[in-house]
Amino acid sequence: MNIELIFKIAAVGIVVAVLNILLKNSGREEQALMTTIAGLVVVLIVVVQEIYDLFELIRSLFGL
Amino acid sequence: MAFIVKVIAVAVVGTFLCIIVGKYQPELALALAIVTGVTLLVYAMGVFSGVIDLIKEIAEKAGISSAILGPLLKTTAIAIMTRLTSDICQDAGRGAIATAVDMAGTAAALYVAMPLLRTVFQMIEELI
Repeated sequence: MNIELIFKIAAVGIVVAVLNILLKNSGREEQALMTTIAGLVVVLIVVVQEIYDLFELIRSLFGL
Repeated sequence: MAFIVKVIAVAVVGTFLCIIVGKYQPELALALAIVTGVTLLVYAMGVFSGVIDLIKEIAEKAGISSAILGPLLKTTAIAIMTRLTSDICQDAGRGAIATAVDMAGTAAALYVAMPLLRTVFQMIEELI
């Protein structure tokens, strides 16, 4: 089971949240938004790959 | 036993992490929920493949053709994928998208089951 992926995404989430708060407090709102979007894109790439793998597995398993 | 204990552990850890991350980054919490669900399903499918092999074996011995068994397995697969997707959409608060996915899944399942219905009607015709 690929549990590392869950921890990795949680780590990205926490790092992005900390950066977001830091940048917001130092008055750089637009850069805070950029970090949020960058983190989201990185996580989305991983998630999409994972969903594709699951659906491929189900397809091969059930002969779809 | 070890299988279900592992599933429970991953599910609980995933849910905790979702709550923690969700406080600050709700969109990343959704991604985390998706990955947790997908990981668990991939793990479950590894065990399920043994069951499918058994079903195929029994069907072969009972003389049931793969034309009858195929649609059954296909509808199961469609149901698993649709249910996961629609529940994720529902979690994110997008009920309309979830309903659309459900409808599409129903249509796909009906389409896949059509040959089976045709076989049933043919059998009825032969009986009459």
